[in-house]
Amino acid sequence: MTDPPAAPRDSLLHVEDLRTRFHTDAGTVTAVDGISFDLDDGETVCLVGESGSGKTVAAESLTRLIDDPPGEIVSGTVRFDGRDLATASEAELRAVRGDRIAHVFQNPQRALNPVYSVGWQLLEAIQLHDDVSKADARARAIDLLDRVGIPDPATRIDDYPHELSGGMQQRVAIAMALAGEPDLLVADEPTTALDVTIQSQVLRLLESIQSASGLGLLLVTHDLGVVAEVADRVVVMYDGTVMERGSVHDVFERPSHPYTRALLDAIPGRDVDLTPTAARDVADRDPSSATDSTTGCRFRSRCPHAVDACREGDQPPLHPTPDATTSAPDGARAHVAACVHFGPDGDPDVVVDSAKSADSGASADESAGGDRR
Amino acid sequence: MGLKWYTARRVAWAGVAAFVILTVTFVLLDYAPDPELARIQFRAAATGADAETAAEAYAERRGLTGPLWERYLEYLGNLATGDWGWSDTRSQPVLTAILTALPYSLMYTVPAVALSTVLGIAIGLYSAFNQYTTTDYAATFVAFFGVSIPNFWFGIVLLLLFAVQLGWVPVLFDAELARTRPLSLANARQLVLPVFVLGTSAIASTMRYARAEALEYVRAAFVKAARAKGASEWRILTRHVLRPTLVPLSTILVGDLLGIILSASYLVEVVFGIPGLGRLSLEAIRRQDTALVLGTTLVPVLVAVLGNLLQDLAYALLDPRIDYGDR
Ligand code: SF4
Repeated sequence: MTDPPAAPRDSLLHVEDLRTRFHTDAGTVTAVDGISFDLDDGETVCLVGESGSGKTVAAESLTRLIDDPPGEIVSGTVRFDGRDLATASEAELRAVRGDRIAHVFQNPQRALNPVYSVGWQLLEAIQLHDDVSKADARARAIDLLDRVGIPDPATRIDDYPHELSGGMQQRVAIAMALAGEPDLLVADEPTTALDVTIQSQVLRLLESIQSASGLGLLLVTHDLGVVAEVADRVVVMYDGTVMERGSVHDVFERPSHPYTRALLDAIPGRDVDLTPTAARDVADRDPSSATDSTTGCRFRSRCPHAVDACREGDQPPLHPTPDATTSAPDGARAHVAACVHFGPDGDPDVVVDSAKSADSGASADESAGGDRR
Repeated sequence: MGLKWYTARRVAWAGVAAFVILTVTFVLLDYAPDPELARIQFRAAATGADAETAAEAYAERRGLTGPLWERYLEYLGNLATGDWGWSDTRSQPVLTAILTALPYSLMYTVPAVALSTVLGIAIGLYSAFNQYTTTDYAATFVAFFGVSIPNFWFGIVLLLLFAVQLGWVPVLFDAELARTRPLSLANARQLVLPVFVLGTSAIASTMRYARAEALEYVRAAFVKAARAKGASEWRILTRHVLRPTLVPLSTILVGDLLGIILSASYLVEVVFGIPGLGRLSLEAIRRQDTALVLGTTLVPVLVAVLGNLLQDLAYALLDPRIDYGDR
């Protein structure tokens, strides 16, 4: 990978060339194939992609939550606070999980243990990392519930998960994640399983928590509307690799990679839902088409700008886009795209200018919004 | 609808079940042929006396006269006061015979049940957590071995090996020793094999259920969430997986264990020569001692009713989601 030079020391999380594989009966699938990104204190980075793009595996690989076996982190570094979590011991990881890096999962109903009360689970989260008395922990738990907007927390703390609505369950899950006052919150599709009316409330809650406590937020989502609303920076994933990376402004105003452009073009002015386009689960992917055996650009078959060079070698490396120097000069924050047209011999205008022509709309429809007709 | 109301209703149901069982027992007892009566009638006829008169005198003596409902009430009253009938073959009250035999049965069933429950759940959980590893395969193999091997055959093989060949344990069960010094090492030695034989089959089925149930939870999102909180694997196993696993397991365990123990105890007691409830019942059946047969079946049946009650209550305590209104 000819990534931009290593991030400056101060970034909270520095992921480099992370690669996660799953050994299934049908063969080995590389769900995350060498991704790199950075996240700073108090920053919101969105990991965007379709289902099957490896974004969830990427998020869960950070603290090694993936099931191992069959999952395995084959290479790469996850530098957090000077430590490499990819090679850290189980004990070191346990100390980081929940205390420094917390997770919120997609389906709150499943992420809460059905046989324990909300209070039990909150107290567990508090007492795992803090040697406090039960009474103190309970007081803190009630305070946490209050912070995430649960009415009458002193009563609700004794409720069981099934007695709460989905939105309330997710608030409890967020409260649980905040119990250890983490520096980084990894939220994997935290609103997807909720009612539409509740989604924006929970999103707003995450935003307000983030701005109040200054924690870093890694938001995994397929919803470009959410990205536009909360992200500082965006990492676009496709088939296990990073296709484009940059500030939310750059990516939305000057989308560079053909894949990103397809996503954004498909539904102008509307929230984008990428899921149905190619809902390929990592597990049921045909091993013959698995990332291990592909050569060239992974987006090639769906790309309207594909040329012969796209077949060669591995995925093209992340090349700086023409605006990279102007918007964010330093390496980790540069606007980059993994496409041959942005390489040293390429001409970005092939991709960028075609937006003005009529046929890109059609091709984008075909590639990203085909199911909407 | 709260836990108290639910408990009250479960207890009431247990009462109804017990009542039905007692009634059925009574009816069976009333219609069953009585070899003693036949013998008396035969003797009367042989000595030239009137068989009918002899039968009536016998019935009078046994309290078998009067209308059915009156005898039924008397029967219930007798049961309640500990009069479970008279065993002709043993010439002693049925209850006395049962109470004499029961301790011998408990001596090996209680340790077998305790061991197999604890070990079965532990191995099942371990297996689920280490699915598809060598240990998991080994445990699964042992489970199938335990389930499929016939108890009496296994008992005989073990006796041949450890008692006859190696002489580590006695071949014959010494009832006198068990009665006088139940907690002695010598008694423990003669109980090892019966406990082992019974335990193998019970442990195997518990383990299979525990593994299957736990497998549903080891990859559950809440287990991942617990891991993300920083919980250790041990904590995840004992808190987050064990508890939800126990919920369905508790509904299987009681019936399953009872079945194994009731059926296996006949064979185990015959093979090892233990004068317990199983052998008592077997003898009673063989010698047509109706009162004793029914008495000995009543014990496990009542245990089953009680076990089911306990299981329902355990279920309610373990799973907060239970809807009391529906049950
Ligand atoms: S490398 Fe080729 S196939 Fe891939 S996105 Fe660029 S133009 Fe399309």
